[in-house]
Amino acid sequence: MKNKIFLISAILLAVSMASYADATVGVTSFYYENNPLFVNPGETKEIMFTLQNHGGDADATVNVNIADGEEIAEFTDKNLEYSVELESDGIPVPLRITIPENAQPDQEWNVGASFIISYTPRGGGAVQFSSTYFKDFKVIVKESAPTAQATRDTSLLNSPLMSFIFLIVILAVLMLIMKLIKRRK
Amino acid sequence: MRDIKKESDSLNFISLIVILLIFSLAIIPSTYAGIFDFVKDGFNSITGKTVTSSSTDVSITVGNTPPRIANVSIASSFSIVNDPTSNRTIFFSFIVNDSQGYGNIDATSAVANFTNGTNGGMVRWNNSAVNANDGNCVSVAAIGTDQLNFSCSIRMMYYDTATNWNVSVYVEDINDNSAQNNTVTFSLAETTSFSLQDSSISFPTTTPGSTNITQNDGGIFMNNTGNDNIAAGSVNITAVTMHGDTNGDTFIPVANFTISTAGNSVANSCDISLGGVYRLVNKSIDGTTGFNSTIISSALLPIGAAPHNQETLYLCLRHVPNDLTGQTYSTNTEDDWSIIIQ
Repeated sequence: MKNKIFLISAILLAVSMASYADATVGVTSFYYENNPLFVNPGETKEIMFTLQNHGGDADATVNVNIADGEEIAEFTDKNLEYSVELESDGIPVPLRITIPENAQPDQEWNVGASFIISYTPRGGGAVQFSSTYFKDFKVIVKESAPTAQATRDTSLLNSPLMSFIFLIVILAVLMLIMKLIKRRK
Repeated sequence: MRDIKKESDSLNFISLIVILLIFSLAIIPSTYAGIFDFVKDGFNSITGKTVTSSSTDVSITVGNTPPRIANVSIASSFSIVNDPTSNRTIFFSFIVNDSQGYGNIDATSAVANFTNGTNGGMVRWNNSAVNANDGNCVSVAAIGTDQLNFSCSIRMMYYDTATNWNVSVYVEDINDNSAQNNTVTFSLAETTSFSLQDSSISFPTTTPGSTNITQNDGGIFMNNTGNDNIAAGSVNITAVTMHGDTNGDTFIPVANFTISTAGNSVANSCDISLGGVYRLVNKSIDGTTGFNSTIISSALLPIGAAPHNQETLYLCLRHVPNDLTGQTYSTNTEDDWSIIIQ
């Protein structure tokens, strides 16, 4: 019975302290599932995630980590804990992508990052929730640029061999005409 | 003698033809992809003259020249604002040229839209004929004698698709001639965002040994406030054992909790036999890759306006352990639980 009373009072305390924080942080990326990042071998690219916090009533703290593609991707900020106040926008989270010199055309990596978002003020309820986003995108090594020669029409009709055959045929016809003229004389 | 001259003339003529042919064969490949292109297209194809021609009657009426739209100027990329009560206003400008002078341009006629090919083709307008309050694009200044500079804005909604958008601008002159420019695009980035109506939830008063305790604040209400379509199978939750705040020796195991979308009702959230009810597993956010936490397969958050973009999760404490002591039990001394979108 004693346990029961204590338990009841403890839970009531938790309820009375509960506050309600409507929390919304957004993570923006220009590279996503259907929009990969194309790179060249040996290339280094700086891209950016951005953070925003609109439409709620809570400030937020966002912890960022690489979740996939560590071999080519690293966040360049030393402190990867970002304060994202309510109504803030465009807070940059820079990411450096470094492609090996020996990367092959069409070689690809998946680069992912986790954004763990906790909100303040913290509610007084029994369970405190954070939000976590896993954002990822493909990094793909470009095909080497096609040469002008490779883009020319290489159909049989336009091949050098056919031009040569055409020339021989014309010469043969001319020789035939010359012979005919000689015979008439 | 005359025959010899005649034969010599014939030979010279044939020689000339042969030389010309060889010369032609030499230059055609350098000016054209292949000799048969020349054969197919005719000699005019390498002279630059029109390949096809036909006779036609021509009548010319000297009248008003249509305006032309140039210099559509807009940033190359934007992102949405993750707020259903707001929007992202995109500003851009363009120049209209009319050889009859800028006075010939109907300065109130300029309208614009953004389109993409997804979801059946989204369109955002600035066109008072479509939305009375749009106001159309506005003439802001004359440039020289023939040009007007127009400024325009279009609002993008929080759920507008991440992709390339086409910019189309249209203008008329006072003679009802018109011009349109569809040459410019911009990219809209992908923003992942959902709102938790309340990031902290509570349970009612309870006693050891009780069963099927549902949360007393209705549910975990979520809205997709971005333009990243969160499909079924993309929503996960991590949860850790809930210890007593004062004395951590007693605890509520995570496995005693279920989370549910079943029947969109808190009443069903404890019945593990139902589809859409999931028992939680003990996993901290630091140790998860998403896939090794509890996947709430039935939950999804499509992009779109409310209520299309909404989902509610229901948490249930299926059994209060008998050995709990009287104190507050919460996640205060542990990791937060986390709702994961991937």
